[in-house]
Amino acid sequence: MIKLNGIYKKFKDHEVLKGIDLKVKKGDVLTIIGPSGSGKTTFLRCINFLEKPDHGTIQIGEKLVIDAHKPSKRDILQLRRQTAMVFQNYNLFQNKTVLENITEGLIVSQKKKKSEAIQIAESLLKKVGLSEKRDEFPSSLSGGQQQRVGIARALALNPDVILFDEPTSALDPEMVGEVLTLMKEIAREGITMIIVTHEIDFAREVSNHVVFMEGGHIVEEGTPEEVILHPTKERTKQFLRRLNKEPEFVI
Amino acid sequence: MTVFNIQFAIEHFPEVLKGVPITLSIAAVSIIIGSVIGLGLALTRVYKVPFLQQLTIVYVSFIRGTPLLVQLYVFFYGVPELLDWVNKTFTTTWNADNISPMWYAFMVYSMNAAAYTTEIFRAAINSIAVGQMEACHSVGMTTWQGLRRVIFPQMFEMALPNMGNIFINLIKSTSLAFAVKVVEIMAISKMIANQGYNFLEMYSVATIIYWIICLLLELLFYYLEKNVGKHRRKTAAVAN
Amino acid sequence: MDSSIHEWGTLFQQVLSRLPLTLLMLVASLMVGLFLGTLIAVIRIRKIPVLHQLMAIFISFSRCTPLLVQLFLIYFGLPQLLSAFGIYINDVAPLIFAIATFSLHISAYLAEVIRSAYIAVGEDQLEACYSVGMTYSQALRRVILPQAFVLALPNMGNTIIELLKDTVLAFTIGVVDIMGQVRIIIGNNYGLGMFQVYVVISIVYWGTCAFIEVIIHQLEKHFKKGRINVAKS
Repeated sequence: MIKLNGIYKKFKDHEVLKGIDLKVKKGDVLTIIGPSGSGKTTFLRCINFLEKPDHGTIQIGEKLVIDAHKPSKRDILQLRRQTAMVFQNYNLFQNKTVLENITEGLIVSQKKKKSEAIQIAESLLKKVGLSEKRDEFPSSLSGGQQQRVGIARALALNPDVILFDEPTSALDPEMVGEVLTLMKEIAREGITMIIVTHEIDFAREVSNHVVFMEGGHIVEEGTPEEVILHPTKERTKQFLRRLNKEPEFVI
Repeated sequence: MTVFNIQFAIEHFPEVLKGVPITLSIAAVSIIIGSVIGLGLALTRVYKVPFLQQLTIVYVSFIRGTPLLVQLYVFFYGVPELLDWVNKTFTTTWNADNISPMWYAFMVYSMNAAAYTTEIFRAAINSIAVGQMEACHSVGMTTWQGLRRVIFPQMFEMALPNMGNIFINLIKSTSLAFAVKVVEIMAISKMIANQGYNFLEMYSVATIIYWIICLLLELLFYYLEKNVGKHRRKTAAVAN
Repeated sequence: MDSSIHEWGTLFQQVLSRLPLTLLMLVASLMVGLFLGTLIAVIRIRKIPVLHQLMAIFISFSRCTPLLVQLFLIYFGLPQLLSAFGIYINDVAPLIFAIATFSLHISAYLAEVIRSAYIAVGEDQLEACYSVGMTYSQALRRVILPQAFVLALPNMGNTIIELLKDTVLAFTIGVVDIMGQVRIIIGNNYGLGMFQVYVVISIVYWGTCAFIEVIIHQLEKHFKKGRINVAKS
């Protein structure tokens, strides 16, 4: 259960987030869609405090509540230990092997024993189909492969929620499919996911909760049927129309 | 009179070689201590630590803007004065004459190395994608853990070629250590040369020794660069 | 350390009054070094047989051995060498030896700076020159070297600053510049000792370096006007 209240952020004179409230239930797959500059990535990064909101509160689970006005270092660390992120540019640890990328977090922040960490990492590598790459370095993997390792790294931590920051935007088209397939599988397994993406079809198929953001506000929120198929707000309709240019006539 | 008394040169070669360990140890100690200090200073600038950052900027500017020889003299004449003041204020009895020249050398050359290494560490850290640290944070590491396990290894590897240059420059600059009374290659060569006016011979000996040390070091760093960072082999699929 | 502002003031004055000689060494060595360095760079770029390998050895020598050794070799060793051939240069002023050594020393560094700037300008520019009928030397003069100069400016600036710091060694062969006059300066100052003198000297060098850095920075700004990216990245 994740609750965000009144998240507000300003960069210099520009108000990026103008007070966002959001509730996410366990097992939800939430996608955040919207035009560039709407603040959706900034909002996502506030959830694990990679961006510091100016106002608002973040609650993860029953007990952990962080107030943006006085966040304690310990709480932020705890927040980051209960969440995991998959980055647009993968951000794999360049100086570690694929296997080590997955075990790093387990050993260092979850204080697991090396042998246990390796076991977990190996089974996840198998799951994402990259077992044979375990001793390779990220620089020798393709973008799609790196992102799958990134997802494995996030899964390994067994977090309360996995945050996906435009996971397929940096990928060549032929590799987008393999990553989306993996994400669909994870969604089916009941992992709580918050995804910022441009892939509207994916949002429609896989998520059970969609948020449309524009200009720092949540404009519309609901199930995929409600937001994507039958939007009520004009701005939502405009955005979706721009993305799905209907053909003039069909033969 | 012969132009070049090669006999003389060969005869006294071993004596000059005795200065090599001193030269190497000054350079080695200084680069190690200097790198540790340099890394700390680099971090004050990367993390924009107030006051310390400005101090670092001034420090680096001073060390790089003044000749090493003058720095050596400043220390050589300054430390005894400092000790006098300490003795007067705290009624101690430190004696500056008991400080071995090597200590002066270690201090000044380390401070020198620190100023130069801090700039390369800073450039290296700044060129490592900010996403690396974000990934560290996102898996729950503290900043220090991220620095230690992910950022520093990448940084050292990037800094290696420049570290090689700094080390070679340190070796060359040890020729000035005579200013604080250290007996190294140059001092020995000078002493022998002055005895019988065999300048050409002895300074040629010194030249050859320094040249060989330099070439060997260049070779060493070449192989180090080749073998460290095998993981950096770039392919078309490298993430930005 | 009972010293008054007045004494420090006199000290600064005394040191500063000897600065012109240092600057003279700097500028003279720079001019000669630039000339030699350009020649060497051209030899290396054109890979003129024999000379090009010789220059490679010269550059290696200049960069691998301490300046002090080079200075002593030339000041003490060269007269010894030449006397065997009947040439006596023992009466030449130490200043000349100093400038000669510094010039040779930085010509090696400048050659490399110029060469890498030249390479950065790129073959394409040269081909364009040929295609409008210029000879190689015309191309160099009118198109390549001006561009290379701008690219070389930052590294050139660093080399100049290093040269300024290198001139400090001239007193070891008898040049009477700031460093060479330290004893005399001490003699004229009653309260201040060696430590204070060297502190003042370091501040004077620091200031001069900063001044040169500002000039280089201004030059860079001036020449960069309107250019986006001259070199191949």
